[in-house]
Amino acid sequence: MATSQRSDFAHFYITNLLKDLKKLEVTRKKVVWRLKILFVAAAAIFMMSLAIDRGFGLSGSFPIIVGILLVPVVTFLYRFLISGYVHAFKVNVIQKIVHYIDPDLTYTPTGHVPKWQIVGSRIFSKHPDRVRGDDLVEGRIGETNMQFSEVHVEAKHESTTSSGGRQRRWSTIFRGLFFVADFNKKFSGKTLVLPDTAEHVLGSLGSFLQSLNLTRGELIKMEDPELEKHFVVYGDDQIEARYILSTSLMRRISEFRNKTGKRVCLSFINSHVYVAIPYARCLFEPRVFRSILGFKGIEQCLEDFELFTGIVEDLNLNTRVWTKTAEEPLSPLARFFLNHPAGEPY
Amino acid sequence: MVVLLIVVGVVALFAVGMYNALIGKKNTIKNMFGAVDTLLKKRYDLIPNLVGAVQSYMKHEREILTEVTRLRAEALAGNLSDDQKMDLDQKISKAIGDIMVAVENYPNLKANEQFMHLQRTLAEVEEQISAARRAYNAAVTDYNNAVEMFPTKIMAQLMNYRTKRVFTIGSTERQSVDVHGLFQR
Repeated sequence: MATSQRSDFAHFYITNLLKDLKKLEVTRKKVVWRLKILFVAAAAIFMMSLAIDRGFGLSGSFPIIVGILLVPVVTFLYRFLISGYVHAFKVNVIQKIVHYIDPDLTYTPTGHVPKWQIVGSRIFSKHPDRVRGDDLVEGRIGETNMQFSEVHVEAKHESTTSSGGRQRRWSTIFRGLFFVADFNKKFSGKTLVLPDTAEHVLGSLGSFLQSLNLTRGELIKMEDPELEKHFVVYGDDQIEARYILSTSLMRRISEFRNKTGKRVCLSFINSHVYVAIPYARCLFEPRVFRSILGFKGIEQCLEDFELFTGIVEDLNLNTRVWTKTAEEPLSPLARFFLNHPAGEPY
Repeated sequence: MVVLLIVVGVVALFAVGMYNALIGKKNTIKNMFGAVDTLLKKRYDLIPNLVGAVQSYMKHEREILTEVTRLRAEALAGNLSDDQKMDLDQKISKAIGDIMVAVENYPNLKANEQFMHLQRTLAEVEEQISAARRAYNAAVTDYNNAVEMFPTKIMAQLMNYRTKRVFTIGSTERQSVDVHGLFQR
């Protein structure tokens, strides 16, 4: 962050956030105390099961069963105990940070980009069965309507167990930040810009293998060597893909990828742009076992938000010199129906 | 004897593969040029609207308007080779660009909503033409690589295929626009 911006935010931190953070720190300490009791109780139960096992001369499977049962129970209780604290942090602190960045943005701590948008982006080759997430930010930045949130996208795997019953397992397709915005050009097809693995490793053989990946559409070789180094482009139409990916946008995408240092995926569908940035860490969550009063932690939140809201400028979405002008903002009722298509659980 | 047959068979397969690949690449070029042509026509159709919108304002820049109208007539006359079409495309792009720069001198015209919509439509068509040109160049590069590289070079020579020209910016266009000179005309 530039020095002047940093000092502005530091001032904001002191005047607007510190009081709430101090109150939350008190709450955090109480939560930690309760968690300690929980862990001690769980350990005690496990010890007792060991003792019972030894005392009654059981096969040794009893403590294992107890252990296996304890894990989900402790996890559930952990989440339950921290939920009030996390929610209070988001409502009091994160909300203010979002407002500091842009007062016109709305922040919904429990909301996330709806499943239909994620499926519609066509970024993930496996069909998403379950989408969870939080920290939804939406609004208009300049001429561009956008929304983003943390999402955890999963696929369901059902199998029959040896005893004939059905077993359900969930695997993670994607975890991180998902961003949607209305694009500054009109187009109807689909173009995908995905991280490149094959070409990097296998050279022209990799290129050939990529061209065989028919489910994604036609392979489109772009002229920008920096983009081709890190990404592979698929699309319905050679010309439309180049119409969307102008020389300037290709450069901007490469720069954005370098800025995040992550395997960013993009797609362009029906005049909208979708960006998926994988993150291993949870974003915008307060620390539980360490103090939340440090400036660095809050500064990281701000930097993360600025990275995501900055996508609009980074991809130059506010340049509206073609016939696609800014989309009219949706009324709250229209937005509700858009986010809750009939039959789709939110 | 069997070994010879197998060798001949493999060579024949390769030859067929190369032949088909070259035909495919040549057809892709044709396809792409067709798309460029369609978009160029879209632009030609907009030129009378542009000239009509600006001529009542831009009384001192008659020359630019006449030039673009002349180029359009030349393009629509028909019977042009691909190379001639490409040259004309460059000249028209430049001529339209010159008009847009001249418009900067007329705030009333710039603020006119109909003209603004026309400007946006033209910008969009230019962008689409640019994309089509790039797609064409990619197809031509792919074809030229096959014609010039070994082993497809052999088959290309047998089929009498020559390298094709890509869309390039002409040397006149590369000179930066002399805005002052434009207004003097």
